[in-house]
Amino acid sequence: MLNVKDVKKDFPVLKNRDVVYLDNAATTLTPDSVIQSLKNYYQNLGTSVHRGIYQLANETTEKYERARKKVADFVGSDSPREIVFTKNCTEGINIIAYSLHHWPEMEGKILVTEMDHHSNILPWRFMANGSEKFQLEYVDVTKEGRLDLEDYKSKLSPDTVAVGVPGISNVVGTVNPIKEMTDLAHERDALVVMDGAQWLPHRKFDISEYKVDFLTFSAHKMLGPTGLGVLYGKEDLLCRMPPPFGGGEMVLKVDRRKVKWNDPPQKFEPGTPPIAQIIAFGASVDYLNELGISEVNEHVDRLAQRAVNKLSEIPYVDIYGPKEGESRGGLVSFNVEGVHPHDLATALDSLDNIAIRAGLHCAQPLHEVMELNSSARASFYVYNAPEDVDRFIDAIKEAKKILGGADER
Amino acid sequence: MKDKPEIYNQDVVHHYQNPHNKGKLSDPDFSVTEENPKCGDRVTLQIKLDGAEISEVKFHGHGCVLSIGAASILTQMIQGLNVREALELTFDDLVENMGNPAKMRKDCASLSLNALKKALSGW
Repeated sequence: MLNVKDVKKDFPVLKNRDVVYLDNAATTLTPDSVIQSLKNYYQNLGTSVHRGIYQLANETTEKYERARKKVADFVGSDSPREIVFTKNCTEGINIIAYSLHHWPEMEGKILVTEMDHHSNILPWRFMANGSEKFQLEYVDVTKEGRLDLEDYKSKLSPDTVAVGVPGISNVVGTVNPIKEMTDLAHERDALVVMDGAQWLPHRKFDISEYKVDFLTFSAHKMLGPTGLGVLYGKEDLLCRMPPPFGGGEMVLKVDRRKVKWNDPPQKFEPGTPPIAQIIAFGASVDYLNELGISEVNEHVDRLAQRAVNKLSEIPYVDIYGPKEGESRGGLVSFNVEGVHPHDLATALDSLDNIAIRAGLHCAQPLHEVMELNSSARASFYVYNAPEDVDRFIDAIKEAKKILGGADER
Repeated sequence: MKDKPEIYNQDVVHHYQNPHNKGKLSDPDFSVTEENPKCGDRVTLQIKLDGAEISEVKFHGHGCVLSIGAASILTQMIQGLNVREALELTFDDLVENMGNPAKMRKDCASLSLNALKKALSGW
């Protein structure tokens, strides 16, 4: 069980600012060890990677590649060559979409779900638009915010090239049946691209269990620095995929006409990478490993359940996604009748410095399916205590009193 | 919890709860809808001119206190103005009439003003 009091001490923002931070699905706060790692790079290393023939550059390269190994271990991959560092989760999906589209043999259907974040819809749409190669289709989502598996099965045809799916919905928190979906996709030789942005921060992921072909996630949603994401890809796929970006370090040989790509992951990492961030992300992974990802999962789940239980007791609150007791990611989306989510977010901030998210959460198709104009979302992480949930609930009641609703107009 | 902080200026809340000029015009000269993709708010502003003067104005849509409150206040501000005067209105002018809306929420408060500019720019 996590000791939140101790955990909190590791986060300078929580010491420096009076905030109940419940917007963790957007980005998480940074622990001291990660900040120190960033500082250490600029103070004691400061050099580029892979190219230097001097001791300092070797040291940087070693730390940099060690971080890659930590990330590979974290997702259960036995080869760091399967870990490509990207700008963010979004860029990872864009790379996959572009590469598959430019891979001559790949032609057919791309399936994404109605609950995907725009970042797992638009890259595919860009490739499908005006092209004969890809046709985009959506897997239905029920009004309760669950994937319709029967619909998935019926749309998964022999010509399906790839399936895009969020491990956990960033809006409703539904935990999708990744294993089952991947098995079904593989039976039809379709590749699975899992958006792991909401999964990796607090749920154990082992590639040998879930077997997805590609997985993307963001460092900043799991205590890491901004400007960094991860693209995991099965090694044989990464070896054969055409790279979307050209530049230094991603080639073995270039003459004026021909080019021979470097091996992965360098093939997908042209130019100087975010070195400080990558090394510091290694420190984030260390931090999560020290807490224990199972403990993190249990803690975050418990907070989300507490929020769901307490919100369910309020008659004017509508909750979306999995109900009480059901498995959900560490978040809850909801609406307060008569109070617009933006007004609620402003009110919670003004009343008790509570930071929540409000709006469409970059998932407009899902809001359309659920017939919602927008929603409010609270999301939890390692430094949140049960008392934070209680303050959040109290502030909602107060906001309702102040901003009223139809009954007080 | 803080003791009764003012979340919004009470006038704006009043406008939100009792919006002025809410509805639709049967035969508008201009009708423009603006949406905020971040939150899904949507305001349609409809204007009828008498010569160069705004003779009638109505709005409809859905949104938060700031987008709906601002739309209500804006319709009052532009009633009877001529097109040139209406085009010269700035966000600061609107803010002045709204008291002190949350500074972080300019996108919300300026939705109807953007609709106004788009509507009249083609005049």
